[in-house]
Amino acid sequence: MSTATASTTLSTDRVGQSLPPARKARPVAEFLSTYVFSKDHKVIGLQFLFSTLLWFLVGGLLALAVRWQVAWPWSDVPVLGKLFAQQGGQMAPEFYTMLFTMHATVMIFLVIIPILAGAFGNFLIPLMIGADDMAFPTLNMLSYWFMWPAFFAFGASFFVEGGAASSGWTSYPPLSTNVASSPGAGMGQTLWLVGLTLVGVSSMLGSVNYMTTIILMRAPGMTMFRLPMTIWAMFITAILQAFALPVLTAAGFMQLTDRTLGTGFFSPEGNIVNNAMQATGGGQPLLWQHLFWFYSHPAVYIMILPAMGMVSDIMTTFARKPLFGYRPMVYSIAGIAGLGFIVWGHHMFISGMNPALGITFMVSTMMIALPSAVKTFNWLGTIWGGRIQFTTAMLFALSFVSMFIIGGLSGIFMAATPVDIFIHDTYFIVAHFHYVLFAGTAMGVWAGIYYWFPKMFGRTMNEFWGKVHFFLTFIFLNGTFFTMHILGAVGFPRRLADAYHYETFHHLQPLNAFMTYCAIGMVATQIIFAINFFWSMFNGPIAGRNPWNANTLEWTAPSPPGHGNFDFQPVVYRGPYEYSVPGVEKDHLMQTDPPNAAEAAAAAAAHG
Amino acid sequence: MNATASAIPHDDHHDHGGAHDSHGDHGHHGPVLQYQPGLPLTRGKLIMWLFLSTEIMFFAALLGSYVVLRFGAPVWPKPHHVHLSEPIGAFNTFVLICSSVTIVLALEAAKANKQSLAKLWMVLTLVLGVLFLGVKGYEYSAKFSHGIYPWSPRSRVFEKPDLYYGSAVRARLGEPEIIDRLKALDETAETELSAEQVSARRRLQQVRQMVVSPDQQPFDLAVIADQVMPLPTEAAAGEHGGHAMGLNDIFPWLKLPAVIPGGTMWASTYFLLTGFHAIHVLVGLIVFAILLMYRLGPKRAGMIENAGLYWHFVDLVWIFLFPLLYLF
Repeated sequence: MSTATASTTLSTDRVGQSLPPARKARPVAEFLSTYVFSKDHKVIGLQFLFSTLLWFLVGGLLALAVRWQVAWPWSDVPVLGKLFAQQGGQMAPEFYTMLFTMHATVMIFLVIIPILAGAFGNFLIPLMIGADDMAFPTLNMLSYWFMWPAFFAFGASFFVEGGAASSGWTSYPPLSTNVASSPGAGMGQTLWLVGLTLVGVSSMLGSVNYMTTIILMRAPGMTMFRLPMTIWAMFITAILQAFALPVLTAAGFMQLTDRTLGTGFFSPEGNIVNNAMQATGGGQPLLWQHLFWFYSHPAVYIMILPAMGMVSDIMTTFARKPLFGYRPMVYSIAGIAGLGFIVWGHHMFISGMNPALGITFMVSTMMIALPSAVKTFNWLGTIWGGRIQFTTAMLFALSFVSMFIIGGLSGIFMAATPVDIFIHDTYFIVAHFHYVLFAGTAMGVWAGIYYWFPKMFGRTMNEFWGKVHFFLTFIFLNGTFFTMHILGAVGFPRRLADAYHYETFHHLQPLNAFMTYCAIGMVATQIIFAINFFWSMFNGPIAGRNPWNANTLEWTAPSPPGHGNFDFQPVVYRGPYEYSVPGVEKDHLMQTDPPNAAEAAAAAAAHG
Repeated sequence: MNATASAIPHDDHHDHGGAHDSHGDHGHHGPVLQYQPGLPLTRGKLIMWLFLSTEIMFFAALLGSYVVLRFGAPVWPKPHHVHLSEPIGAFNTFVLICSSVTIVLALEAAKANKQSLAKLWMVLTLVLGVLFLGVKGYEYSAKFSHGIYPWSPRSRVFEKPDLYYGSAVRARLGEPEIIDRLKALDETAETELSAEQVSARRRLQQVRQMVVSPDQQPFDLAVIADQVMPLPTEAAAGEHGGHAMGLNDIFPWLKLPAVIPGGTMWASTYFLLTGFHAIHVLVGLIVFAILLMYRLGPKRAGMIENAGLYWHFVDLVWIFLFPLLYLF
């Protein structure tokens, strides 16, 4: 593998070169333009990565506080209880409501969506298509900097009077529009809406930029059907974001005026909450639900499709086999995205809906199982008979697929209207979306971090501690989330600060305590990840250009790539998954490898 | 921007291992990369189209909400009930369509390198846009003068002549400045007033009587509402330029609460839709003002075209808003 050794030596001197020469005169300005207000997609990607990982910590701690209350209701919260000091560390019911609202908000809007599209999308898109940067670098920088006012809005809402928003992450009216409905429905809710709008602006700027870049800036020879699955997933995710998000922005603005100006878009006539009547009425609360889910259902796919793409690339690399059914994989992503636009009503089966419409939504929802199954079987086909290398990234990728199957199957339960009516608002739903989002997407994100870390920082992460991180996370997450299915099946309700005042749930307390122990273990495990991440950044073994012997374009660039990414003109001759090609000495043919003698002869023969 | 990056820098570009060294002159920058565009469009034009498609979804959400709220409402006011004037709306539509023509002419002139002509058309576009906003502002002020505001504490619109309405009228009539003005009106000699004002004064006195009378009937509240601001029928709408004269019109300082069934929701949606449209018009005008600072030659044609695309979109949104709000 002469190229690999050559590139290793090259990459070491590139590490030195990639840092711009420090001008002594203006070190502060230099630092700001290089690392803070950078227009380089890689720096912006890493900025997104670090910000979202920080919020991941915040969201995790919020989840632990939620779990504490569910396991041992009304007992004093350790450590954090001192912070909010309500009746000596005991949390109030409305505080609990605020906790799960903000846990979901932080995890969805400040972690999952920005880490997939913002961090990985930014870092990988230009590198994997052979571009020197995004089509509009300044716009790209703005998409990151629009996140900061959102960070401030969400962060500040914890400290305003009444606390942060507490009407659920779905922000259903009249709970959210009537200021009297809960303490968090005051300033906290307004800041929540402002933050949401800013996240929306950021995503919109990012998504139009991604689409333009992928359409116009592919390297010569990189046809659409030679794109790696990661890029296909990012492309289709960008389409989803661009077309679904403006609807939420409009709806959010209408809810904001309902709360601040006193319009009545979502407030029903004569609505009374907490003995307070709303001044304006005549609106339709269901309208909000439709507008909200018109965005937030496609958003569910925004939260998983990029992970699916990344996992496809990681699995082929470590199975040393071509992706099974590349085109069906692309079409199934497009199919999931397309169907994702017409299924939003399945969140509203019990909100009041014409039964005929309910059946329509039920059928279209169940149809999503088809492209999802295509993907799952193709992943299995990919690893079938492969020479699997069980690296940390591969372990996370494999667990993504297996956990996604569990999350996907429980999704079919709730797609069926009659079943959903029973399990709606129980822990079964909570189990489902944590299997898809945590056991699915978060595992995919970790797979991506372990896999692309060498490209990001030029060094590999520690494999041993990576595997320890993986196994502990895997065990604890199943301990936490699988039990939720059992709770949900017996009707244990979500969003109640104390469900045990129904005697029928008394016997579930030990199960809940077990889940909380697992959740604490899961968060504690991430300390291993954090130490490994930061230690490897400076002390890990130097990676070289292509540590995994992968095929895609980013592995031809130096690690980490300098400004402009490529030190040569990449030209693409083949698809991204040519592993273990029969009759070829190397076990992988990179996309830049020119046709070999046999291929050239075959091509000549075909063209006569 | 490397949109039109020219040449592949090396003949042997496959050999990326060796290509690196000969590129020392680029410093830490790589070679100028060549691309294979998937569409024959510039980056600016493609991202503008994509941006406009997100804008379509944004306005689709607003228009969809309007349709749901309007047809879900038990009553919806006729355009004349809320003092909408079709001729003014039609005039504004015409203004906006003209501005779409002038921006195209500006583009054509810039392409032909007739810079001063391009500037002239651009200035004309700007003027037409400002005219549109001016007319819009005039329409808004007409709404405000009738007490139609999009927000509740300022709004003097009531859904029905119920007891809340009655007490609001009584509260208004009890305000000190109104008491003074009513007293002054009562003491004015009949000769100083027009015939219309004399009859209105008589009716106003009756209304004041009814408001304070202890045996007030629900029926009386409807009469009061009709006196304050009568809702014209289709047939009567022709007179008085679209709306019948009520007490509020004859004595503008009176500012009594008025009853418009469906009026609050109408106001919310009207100001939401036209407000967001006006913001988009304003952004377009700012873009034109910035463009006017440059020489409008063929080099700027791409920018003018993109700004024009956006302007056509803003125009198109109004083409949907005008019939939805004014004609149906």
